Amino acid sequence: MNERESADLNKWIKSLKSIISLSLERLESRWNSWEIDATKITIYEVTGAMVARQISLAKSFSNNPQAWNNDLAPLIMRAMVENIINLKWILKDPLVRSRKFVEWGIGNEKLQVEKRVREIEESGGNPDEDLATESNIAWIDFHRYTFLTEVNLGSWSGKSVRQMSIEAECKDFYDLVYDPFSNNSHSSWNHIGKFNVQISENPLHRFLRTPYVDSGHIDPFYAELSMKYLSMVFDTFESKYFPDINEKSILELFQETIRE
Amino acid sequence: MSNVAKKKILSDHKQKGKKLIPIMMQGNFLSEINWLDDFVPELFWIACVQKKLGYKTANEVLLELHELYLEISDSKYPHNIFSSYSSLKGHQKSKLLDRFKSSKSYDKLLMGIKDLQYFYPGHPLEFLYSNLELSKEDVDLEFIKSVLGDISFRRSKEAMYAQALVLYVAMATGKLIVTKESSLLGINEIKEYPDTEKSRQIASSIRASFNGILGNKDLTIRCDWANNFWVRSFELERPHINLQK
Repeated sequence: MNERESADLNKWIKSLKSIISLSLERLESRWNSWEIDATKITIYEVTGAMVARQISLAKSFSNNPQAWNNDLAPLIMRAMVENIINLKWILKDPLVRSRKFVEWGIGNEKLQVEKRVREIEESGGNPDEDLATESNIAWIDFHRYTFLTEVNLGSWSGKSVRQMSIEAECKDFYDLVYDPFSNNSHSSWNHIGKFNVQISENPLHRFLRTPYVDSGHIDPFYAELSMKYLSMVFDTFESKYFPDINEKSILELFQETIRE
Repeated sequence: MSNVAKKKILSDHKQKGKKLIPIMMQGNFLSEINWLDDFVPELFWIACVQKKLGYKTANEVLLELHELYLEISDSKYPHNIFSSYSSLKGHQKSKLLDRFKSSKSYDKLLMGIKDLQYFYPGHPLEFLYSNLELSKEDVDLEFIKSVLGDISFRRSKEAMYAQALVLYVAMATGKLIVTKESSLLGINEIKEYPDTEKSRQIASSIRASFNGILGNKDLTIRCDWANNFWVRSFELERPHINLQK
C-alpha cells in the first residue's frame, strides 16, 4: 500500500468509527425514549437486539479492513442483510413474530445442548461438569424451564427467507443481495469458481481451473455497503416506532463524513 | 423496494420439479457437444500440418491422403477427422502406406505431424511412421502447445482453417454435396477470416456444417486415442500451482 492509499484508508476508518459511535448514541437515544410495554416485552427485546446486532456487525467489520474483500465481506454482508429481512418481517406483526423468534431460539438452543450432552456422554465424560452446557441451560431457563421448552425443527418463522422477503415487501433486496451473497456463505461454485480458481494458461491443460488464494486487497466498497445495511436497520426500526423523528439517515451521515 | 408485478424471468424455460429447463433442451432433437473435448482431438493433427506446411501445401497434402483413404477404407464414415484413420484394418494401413510413400506429400505429412508422433503415441496415423524413429531433438513441445493454444478457441483463425479443411476435403471428394445457393461454395473466402464480413459469414456456415459432421455424441468412429487426448496432454506437463509467491 502506498502513502496515498494508506491515507485514504485512514480516512475511511476514521469516518466509519465516527458513524459507529453515532449509531451507538442513536440506539441509546431511541431505546431510552421508548415507551416499553411490559406485556409485550419480546417486541422491545428482539428489535433492540437486532439493531444492536447490526451495529456489532458493522463495528467489527469497520475495524478490520483486511476483511473488506470478496472472500470475507459477503459473509458479513449476508448476515446484515438477513437481519434486515428478519426485522422487516417481524415488524409487520411485532408481538406474534417476535415471540416466534424467541421461542425458536430457545428451542434450538435446547436441541444443541442435547446434542452436546450426548457427545460428552458418548466420549465418557460427565455433562454436569461441562461449563458450556451449564451456561446454555441457564440461558434457556432464564426464558422458560428447559424441560418445558418446545423444539421447532423447521425455520423460526415457518417460512423461507424468500417468502419472508415477499411478505416484508423487499423481494428485490432478497433477489439482488441476499441470494448472491449466499453463494459466498455456502462456498457455492458460482462463488469459489470465480474467486478461488485461476485458469491455467498452459494450452495442454484445456483451461483447467487451478486453486487460487487472493493475496488480499482492501475494497472500501464493502465498508460503504456495511453502512448502507446499518442504515437500513435503523430506517426500519425508526419508521415503525419513531416516525416523527426527522433526522438524516446513517447512510447520509456517513456519505457526508467521507466527503469531508 | 416493492413486490410490484415484474416481467417473469426465464419465462421460456419449462419447470420440471425444482429445475428450469431451457427451450433448446426440452426435446431430444439436440445433443450438447464440447469443442475442447469432442472436436480438438479430431482436428489437432490438421492444425499441426497447416502450421508446419502453410495452408495451401497442407490442404493439398491432406486432400491427397484422404482421397487414398476413401479408396482403401470400407468405413461408412467419410470425413477426414483423425478418428477415421483408426478404422483402417492392418492390411488397409499397409496398402495406404505403400501408396502414399511414393507421393511427395508423404515426407511433408511426416514433417507436419512429427511432434504429434513423438508426444502423443498411438495416434491414428502412427502407422505412416512405420520404422522411423524420432529423437527429442527432432521435436518441440512448444510447437504442440502453440498449436493447441491456437485452436482452443473455436472461432480463432487457426481453428476455423482446420474446420474449413475438413469441409473442403468433403466437398472435393464428393462426400458433401452443397446446392448452388450454399454459402459453403465460397469456402475459399475463409482465408480472409476474420477480417471481412463475408469470411465471417462463411465461418458461421462452416461451424454449423461442421457440427453436423462431428456433433453426434453417439459417433462410433471415435477412437480411444481421441478420448484420451487430454489425459495425455496433462501427462506431458502436469498442472502445478504455486500459492506462496
